[in-house]
Amino acid sequence: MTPQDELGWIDKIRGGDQAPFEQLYARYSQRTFNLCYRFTRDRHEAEDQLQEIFIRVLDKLDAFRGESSFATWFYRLATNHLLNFKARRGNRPDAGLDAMPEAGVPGADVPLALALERAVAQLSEGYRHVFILHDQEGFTHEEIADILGIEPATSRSQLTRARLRLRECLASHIATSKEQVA
Amino acid sequence: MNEDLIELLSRSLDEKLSPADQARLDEALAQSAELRALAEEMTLLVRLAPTPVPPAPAPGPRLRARLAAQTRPSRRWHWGLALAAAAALVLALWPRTQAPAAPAFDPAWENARLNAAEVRQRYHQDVAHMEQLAILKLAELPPEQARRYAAQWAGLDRMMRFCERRADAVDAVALQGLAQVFAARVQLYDAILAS
Repeated sequence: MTPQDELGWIDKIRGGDQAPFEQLYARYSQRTFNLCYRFTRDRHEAEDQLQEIFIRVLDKLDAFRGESSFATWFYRLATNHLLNFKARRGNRPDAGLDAMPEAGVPGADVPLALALERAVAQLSEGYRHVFILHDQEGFTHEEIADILGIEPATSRSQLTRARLRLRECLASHIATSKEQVA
Repeated sequence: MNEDLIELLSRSLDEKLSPADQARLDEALAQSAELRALAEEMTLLVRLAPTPVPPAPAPGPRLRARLAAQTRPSRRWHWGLALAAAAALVLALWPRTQAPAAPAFDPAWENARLNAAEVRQRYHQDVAHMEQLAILKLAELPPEQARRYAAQWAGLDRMMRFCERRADAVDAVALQGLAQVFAARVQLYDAILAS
């Protein structure tokens, strides 16, 4: 699947063809849902925001000029939407881990996963966003720079600081994990 | 790698560095190795502890309605467009208490759900025999002591029901909680049987 294929889909969706939208949804929904879930930390809110993001994408599709890749444009729009949502929500606390009635990943180290989630939740906003996008969702620094509107160097330095903070918080877990792997 | 470090490295190949520059180069390289080690630690951590994100749901009714409104039909379909817009409006105003769209079927998720059910069944089987003995023993104990144990037992039952309801959603925390409640029940049965 090439960027040209995606541009073809987008033209068809603009023209009112629904079938390519299904392909677009299949391609982008899971990674976007991951972002929604990690930003809101609540399944129901994440589901709502995923739908809102796709509605917003349809609203703004005519504004996509192909100056950046569609993926970058899409995730920039999704991330901005989530940051605005969090800003609108104001000081209302996150639902938190206790309100995350979700499955464990079979074979995962559950106590470590919970400790990591708690430590990530305690990071300051900038560090947390970069850590989520880079280490948990696999975006590059250049993509993160485009998505968040920052310099790639800023993304790198925030990631390093986030990692150092997490290393402090999770020192005992990291030592145990290293022993397990060794 | 920053330009300063590149410049120091180039100079170290062409000429002998001053002790101060050599120290800076060593520190920069050590920091670079340190950063690599840090990145490896985080990769390991994220791999061992993936966040349990559920599968993305299928497009919901509001999104479907918006998509329907995206179509640019010929004049004879204007009625359809009007209906879609009306449906979008109704759905937008519909109370949020409606049941959410069923998530797309995901075999891995289903497997996790079945595993969770199996774990719970195993716990129940493990404690069933002890539970019967504890009930018999409770009837033999002095009333005050039996009442105290019964109150503890009822509390554990309530906690277990709460965890089981949440474990239906294959909740990792609830499953852990369930394991702790079962451990506490075994301790309680031990205490009753040893009385």
